[in-house]
Amino acid sequence: MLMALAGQPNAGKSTVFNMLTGARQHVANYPGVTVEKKVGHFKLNGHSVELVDLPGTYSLTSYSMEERVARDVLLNGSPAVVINVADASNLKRHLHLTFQLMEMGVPLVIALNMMDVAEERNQRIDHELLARKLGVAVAPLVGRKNTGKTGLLAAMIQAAGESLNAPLRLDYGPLEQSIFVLEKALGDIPDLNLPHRWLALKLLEADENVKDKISEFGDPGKEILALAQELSASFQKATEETADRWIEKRRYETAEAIAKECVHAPDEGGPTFSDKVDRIICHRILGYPILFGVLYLMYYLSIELGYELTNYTWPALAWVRETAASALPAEGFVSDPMLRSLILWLVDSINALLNYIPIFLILFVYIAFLEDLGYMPRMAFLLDAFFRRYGLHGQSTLPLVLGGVYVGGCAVPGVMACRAVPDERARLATILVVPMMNCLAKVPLYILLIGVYFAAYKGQAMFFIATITILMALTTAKLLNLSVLRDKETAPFIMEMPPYHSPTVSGVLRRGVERVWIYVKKITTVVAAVSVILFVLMQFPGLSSEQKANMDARAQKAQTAFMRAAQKTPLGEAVNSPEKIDQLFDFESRYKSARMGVTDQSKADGIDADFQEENANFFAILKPGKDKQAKTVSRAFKKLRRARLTLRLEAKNEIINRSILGGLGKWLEPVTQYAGFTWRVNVALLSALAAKENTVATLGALYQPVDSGDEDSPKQDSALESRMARQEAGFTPLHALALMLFMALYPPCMAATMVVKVQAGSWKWMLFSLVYMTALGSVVAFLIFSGGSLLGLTGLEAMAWFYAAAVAAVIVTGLIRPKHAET
Amino acid sequence: MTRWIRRWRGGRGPQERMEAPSAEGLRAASRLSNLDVGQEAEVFGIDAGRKARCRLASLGLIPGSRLRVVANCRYGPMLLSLGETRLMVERGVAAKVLVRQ
Ligand SMILES: Nc1nc2c(ncn2[C@@H]2O[C@H](COP(=O)(O)OP(=O)(O)OP(=O)(O)O)[C@@H](O)[C@H]2O)c(=O)[nH]1
Ligand SMILES: [Mg+2]
Repeated sequence: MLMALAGQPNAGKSTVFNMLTGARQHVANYPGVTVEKKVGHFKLNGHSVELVDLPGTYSLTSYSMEERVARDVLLNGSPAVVINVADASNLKRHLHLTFQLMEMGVPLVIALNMMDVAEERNQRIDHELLARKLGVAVAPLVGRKNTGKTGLLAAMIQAAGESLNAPLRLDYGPLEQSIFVLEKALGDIPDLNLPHRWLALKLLEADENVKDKISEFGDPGKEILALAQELSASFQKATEETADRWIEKRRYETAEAIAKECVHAPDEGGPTFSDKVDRIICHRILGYPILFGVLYLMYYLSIELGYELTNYTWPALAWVRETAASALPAEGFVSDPMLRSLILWLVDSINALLNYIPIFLILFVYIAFLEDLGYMPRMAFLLDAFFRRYGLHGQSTLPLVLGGVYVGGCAVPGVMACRAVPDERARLATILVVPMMNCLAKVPLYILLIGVYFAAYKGQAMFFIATITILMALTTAKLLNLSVLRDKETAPFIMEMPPYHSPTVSGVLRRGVERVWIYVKKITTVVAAVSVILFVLMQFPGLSSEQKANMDARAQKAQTAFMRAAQKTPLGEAVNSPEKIDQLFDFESRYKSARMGVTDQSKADGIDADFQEENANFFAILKPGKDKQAKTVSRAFKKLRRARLTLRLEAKNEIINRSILGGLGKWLEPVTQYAGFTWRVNVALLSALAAKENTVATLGALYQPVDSGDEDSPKQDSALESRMARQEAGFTPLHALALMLFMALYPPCMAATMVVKVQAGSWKWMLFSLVYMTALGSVVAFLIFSGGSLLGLTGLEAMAWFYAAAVAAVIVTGLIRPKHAET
Repeated sequence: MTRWIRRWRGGRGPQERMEAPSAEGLRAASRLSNLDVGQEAEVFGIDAGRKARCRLASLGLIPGSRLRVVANCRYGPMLLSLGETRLMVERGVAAKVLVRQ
């Protein structure tokens, strides 16, 4: 059995849907949250019911997508019951839709939601009288608190049974005659299983969809269309009012009359609490500092505080890695077992993203709070004028903020938030530019490059990269609007402003956690799959047998040297075979991780005692103390360690060099050199396709430290900054600038790309977003590098010129006024 | 230069008056976009396109309805109060709504 939830936006349909089916549909205090029909199931009186949550519609014309979706389900799905969710505190306007549903002849039940809000406003609603007036069952409800559910279920069961409904028939006065004539004419067409009165009204309103449908019936259909046109023309002549306006007016008059009788309210009209608040929040001057404060607080809480929190959560992730590492087959001398490398690679990739959980949790909770409060539509109100100039929309604000307008966002929630933008053209433009924002994962690369090549101008360079992206996004959005998006549907910005609701702690927390959970599920699966592919691409085919033999020989030589040195001491027995040496390295790494972060002296002593007990000889080599002979072995071990490290890094480097991805990077070099990218940079950028976090990690693997051996940090003797500077001697700030801008305009990562596909609704747009961003990024990088070199600009000069050009582009494109489709 | 500035602002500043009223009784008429915060008025005509008109109508803004301006973003949208409904309307559309006080 099919049932549908219909009603005006923000009436609480999804709340009722969740209440009935136990689902977790997105609910928020702004109109237009649900944009596609959503299906759920539940049991009603022993029957299983399929319940459809429809997008909210103010009316049932065919002008907007939501209205068409809703109308299609209502007419063609032939639901057994339609539950019309109406806002009791704004009954008059919600009845407007109710009348249209009644005219469509669907079996109706009215869920009179938000009774608590009505009560708060001192409105007393006589729902029994309302039911009698409308001829339809009415169930009062407070969806958010689950009260009134039994009444609603009872009404639904009744409506699903034999229909006792005798719904009110609206009287259209002087138009009734025309309606009657059309109804009769429609009666002559066979197989027309739509309510005739509704069709007649739609024909008089000149509804395009219905006209198309009728004209399918050949000549009789055409005759009816001609008749309808004639009738509405003569109506207009007689009354000086067009038929569609008259219909609208009659509906309002009837709604007003019914509302007057059923709602007893103290005289309304004065400014409400929300109005008084909006005088300030939506003030044309004061509104902006407040908006800035709200956004700043969001950054502060999620990025700053969230990062702080990751210090506490990271040990848990590190522990997972440690546990995995100790459970896996131990390290080899030169290369590790495949299983070990693969699993650790996987864990590292997933950990990199899981590390952001505290940030996302705070972000999502904060957003859920703003959503329930009702600040989102206010934000749209304040920014609409500015964004419209660039073909975006007031409601593009949230996606851009989430994507990282300043620094540190994520394109995935950003693109997901685009669904709230009602204007199709602006929605696509927003989806296409959000990935340009500076997501959290791009930031490490910026920091790295600025640290090396713009060290003297860190502040300016950071400001440049933080603000250049929004400038480019505005220009791009406008250009997309003027080109590929030119023919897309636009919608005038006419939006309901919902009153403020006070958010509940549990509701906000629950939604925040839910969204984090969705993020974790989606991202870990995508990242897990992609990182395995990346692993294969960067590891195969591996070393050639010659290289392998050569390295093994060198390893053996180093091992023999060490064993010979140890042989002369009593400790020699403990390390007289390569296997024992591997054990020693394993012992050392376990000891290091056990001691990591332990500052308490007695605890440290305890750990020392444990390890000493496990293997006194190994411990003596690691901590020789004053023992002369142990010191000799320890020194030899240090040498061995250095040799091993060099070999391992060389092997890693060689493997990447010979790998498929490395080959691709080299193959691209002849082209990318004009943008200043070497093959190593290419490899890093290719790996970033999976997740941007990979860029710096891959560079770290590519620019291997050449000499090492420092006691305290044997693994990373010098920072990546200095390694890169040393190994890419020809690299200049101009190279770095080209790379940074390319990174900013780089195609969205895998996860974001999938979201783009989902939100834009087609593979075509997904591909387009990949292609245009790559093209744009390449052109910019090429201009900066080749153009800059040609003109002999320094990196800083190129930066200044590029910034000036971007500002100019924003001003110029802002002045272009597109020919608006008539609103 | 001033022309450029006006263009930048969208060219539909509050200074713009509507063309001569068609009927004699409409002297007090003006465009909705000219109202200030707190002012009340009655709608008597909407000469916007069909799509915008339908949307306004389904939200309750039709000839005969009374409204009050809650906030006015000067070059951006307006926030209106119509009975229990609060409505944001972009300036371009507001300029096509004729009201009298
Ligand atoms: N005070 C109060 N708030 C409610 C009630 N029911 C729902 N809400 C809130 O009203 C807002 C809108 O609810 P939704 O369920 O998202 O409304 P919707 O009809 O699905 O909206 P769209 O999908 O945009 O058409 C949310 O903030 C809900 O928490 C109620 O009975 N009382
Ligand atoms: Mg919904």
